[in-house]
Amino acid sequence: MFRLNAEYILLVILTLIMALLPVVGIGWYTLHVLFLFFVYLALANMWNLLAGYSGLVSLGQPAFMGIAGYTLAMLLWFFDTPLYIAIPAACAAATAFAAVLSIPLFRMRGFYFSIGTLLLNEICRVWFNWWRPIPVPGAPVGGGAGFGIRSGLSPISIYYLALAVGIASIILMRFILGSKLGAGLMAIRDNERAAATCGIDIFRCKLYSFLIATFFTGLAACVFYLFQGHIEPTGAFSISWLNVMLMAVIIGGISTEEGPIVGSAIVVLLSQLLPRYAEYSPLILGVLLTLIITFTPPGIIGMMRKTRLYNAMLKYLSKPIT
Amino acid sequence: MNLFSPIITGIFLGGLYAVIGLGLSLVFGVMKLVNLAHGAFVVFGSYLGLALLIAFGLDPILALILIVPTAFILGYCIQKFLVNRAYQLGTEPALLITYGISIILANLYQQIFSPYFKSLVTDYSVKGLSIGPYSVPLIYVLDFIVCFIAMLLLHWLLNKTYIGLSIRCAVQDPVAAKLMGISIEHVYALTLGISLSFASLAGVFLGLTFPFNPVSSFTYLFIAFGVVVIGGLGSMTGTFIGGIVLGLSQTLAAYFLGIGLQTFVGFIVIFIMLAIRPQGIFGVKE
Amino acid sequence: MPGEPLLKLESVSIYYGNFCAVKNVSLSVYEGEIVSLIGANGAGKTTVMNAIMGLVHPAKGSIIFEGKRIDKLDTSQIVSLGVSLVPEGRRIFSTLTVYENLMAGAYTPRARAQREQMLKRVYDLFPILQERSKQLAGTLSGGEQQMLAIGRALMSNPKLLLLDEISLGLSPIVTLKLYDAIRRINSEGTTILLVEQNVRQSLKISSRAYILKSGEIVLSGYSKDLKDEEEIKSAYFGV
Ligand SMILES: Nc1ncnc2c1ncn2[C@@H]1O[C@H](COP(=O)(O)OP(=O)(O)O)[C@@H](O)[C@H]1O
Ligand SMILES: [Mg+2]
Repeated sequence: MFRLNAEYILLVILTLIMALLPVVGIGWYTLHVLFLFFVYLALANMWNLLAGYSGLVSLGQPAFMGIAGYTLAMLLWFFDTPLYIAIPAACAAATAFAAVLSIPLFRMRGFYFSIGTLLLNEICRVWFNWWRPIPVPGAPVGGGAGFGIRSGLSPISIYYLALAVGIASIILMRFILGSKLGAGLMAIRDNERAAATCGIDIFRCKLYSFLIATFFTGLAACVFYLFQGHIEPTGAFSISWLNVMLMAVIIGGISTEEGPIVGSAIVVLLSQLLPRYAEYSPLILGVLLTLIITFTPPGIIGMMRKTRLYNAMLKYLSKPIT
Repeated sequence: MNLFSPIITGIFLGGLYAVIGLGLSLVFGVMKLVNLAHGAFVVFGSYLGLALLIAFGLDPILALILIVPTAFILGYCIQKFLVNRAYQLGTEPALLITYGISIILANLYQQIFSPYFKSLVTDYSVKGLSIGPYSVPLIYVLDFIVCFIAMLLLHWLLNKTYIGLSIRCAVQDPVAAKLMGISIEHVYALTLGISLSFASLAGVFLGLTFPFNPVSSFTYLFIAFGVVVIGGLGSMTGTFIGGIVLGLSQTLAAYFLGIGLQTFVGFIVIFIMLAIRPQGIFGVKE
Repeated sequence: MPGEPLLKLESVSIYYGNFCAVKNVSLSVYEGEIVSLIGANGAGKTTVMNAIMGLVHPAKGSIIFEGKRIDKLDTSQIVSLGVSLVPEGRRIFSTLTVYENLMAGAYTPRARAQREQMLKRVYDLFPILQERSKQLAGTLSGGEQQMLAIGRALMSNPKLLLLDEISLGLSPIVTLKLYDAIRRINSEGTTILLVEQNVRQSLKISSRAYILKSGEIVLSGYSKDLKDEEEIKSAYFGV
């Protein structure tokens, strides 16, 4: 049941402000930072769904992002497919890829799942580095050179797309966690065996969450590649994408709804707002990640939840408005 | 068709891969932890060798006297101060912390040594050795010898020393081991120290054999994991065979399909093994 | 009893989560003694032993060994001080050889220095272990495994040896043999605190005894005085 509360009002107001920013003529640089924030937010939310709520520590999301990006590039490059078809098709391709791979992947448990998914990135990278759909020597198509992605969209429309995807990922998380699927995932996380005896189909719950996360991760990837206008294997399947998701979720607070929001903001700030130290930002993030896991495993939100003020604020925000 | 060369190099290379696998297998066997920083530890050996070569003109093989103890201390401290803490919270935090460490190391390498490929070049690393009518790079032969030395060393360490005894006790029954006066955290730290020592040893020889860059951290992680997955855990023979299988699959793939798909085939082999028999060909199902 | 006790527990309480397994237990063991701690299954005997070894930490009270508080120390530190436990269920390292098991018992630096003497002492006490020294410990019979567990604990040359239900699951003849060995160990200068469910046996061997019931000490005194106490029965069987 949907209940209006201060949280939603806050979300709507913030979204409106974000939507108005380009209209009031904000700088390109700030807009770019916000664009990245929304892409990272969607990625982080989906990784949180996997690792934080479904017990699937997938390290292979970059592979699915790359598949979505490549599909988009192919459709635009070879077939001039209109965007409103190409984007859903790209996400569907990534999801289908994940669905097929879920057969071997779900046979791998725990560590093995993590390693198997991590391996996917490398497999894809090596493959796309080699693969040239039109074997013309010297042609800058495919292989290590990658593809151009020409959408004809203005940067501002791409910003709006990112805004929509980012906000949608927040709403999606709220929706999933409140749904039957969310209840099942929660039960599995608390006690897998007990959940199984209660008749919860563990495999199906995890699979759905894996596929949903992949679809949305693919969507975020499409938005990013529309902006970048180009895709090549080393960047597409790079673990820097993984770093973004992991760090945003863990620094912000894994298994919390607010964590990825705070975490994405921190990751964007560290990687974009300190251009002087840009080359050190992965290092700083890595250190931060290690320290947080070692000393404050619940992340920033986990720490804040221990304070009375923050809890009072949460309570106020989530009170239904009648 | 001349298959001699890919087969012999595959086998020799496989020996070195087995050494990478040894360290990962040891850590997994003792702590049930997949160390995602293992590849970064391998490359640690390569880069430290490079630094010593550039700074002091020290021969990389001689430099092992410095590299291995440094690696041991680094491993000991990482386990003692970081991983042990995360480990108390569960296996996922421990896994993620090793990922964090691998990111830190890979970025440090990049800052210090640039993202470009480097290699350890010495006069013997480019020499050839003739076996009958064929010529094999001398360094591949050295790699294979190192594999045997490393396996004997680890065997001796585990079976003939107090350190090894304490590790085996801790694996079998941590509570009983504590009652012997063994500190489990110390054992874990020693284990990562030993694992890192072997990783850095392999790293030096890999550096002499192939060019490396910060991203090699991940390539070697997968190779190490592949060796363990193919060979099964806890069996040194299995690890050795796992290394050979992987080495051969790469050199033969390069021979038949070209260099571009060489690692691809290796990775696919690992992925399939993971899906059908994660306990390895020789492993027993838990 | 003259002087300070070797081991002293002062109003020790131990919890597993919210469940209080040991309540306000005080006991002392003096040098050279054999003291027994008797109680029914679930009385909290093993918990007391584990607390002395630092495997669990008491929520209240203190544990003092040779005048030094040990209740906050790690197990390995406690072993180094000269306390050794033969745990319930033996817990030998079954995939290691008998010899390796004994060597594991001499892990602490102090013990390592004198392990040859200790090994001789253990082989002297249990000659069968020498015969089987190359065998995997898992292939020994139950009685031999218990001897190995005791031998292994002795390898650190402890001042205080803790024994947790060493007769559990063994035949009376084997039990008698073990108890003879315990007497010998004690006569060679090792103080012993032993835990048993078997009242008669433990009162016979010990000089003093404590009776534990539902985590509390309900009775204590010289073993010879306790032998015919009705109270023991009621404490034990809860009648
Ligand atoms: N690890 C544990 N967790 C929770 N309860 C425990 C644990 N170990 C023992 N207990 C409980 O503490 C009580 C005392 O156990 P224990 O010390 O093993 O008794 P004894 O050795 O006298 O049979 C029992 O009720 C037992 O169920
Ligand atoms: Mg007991």
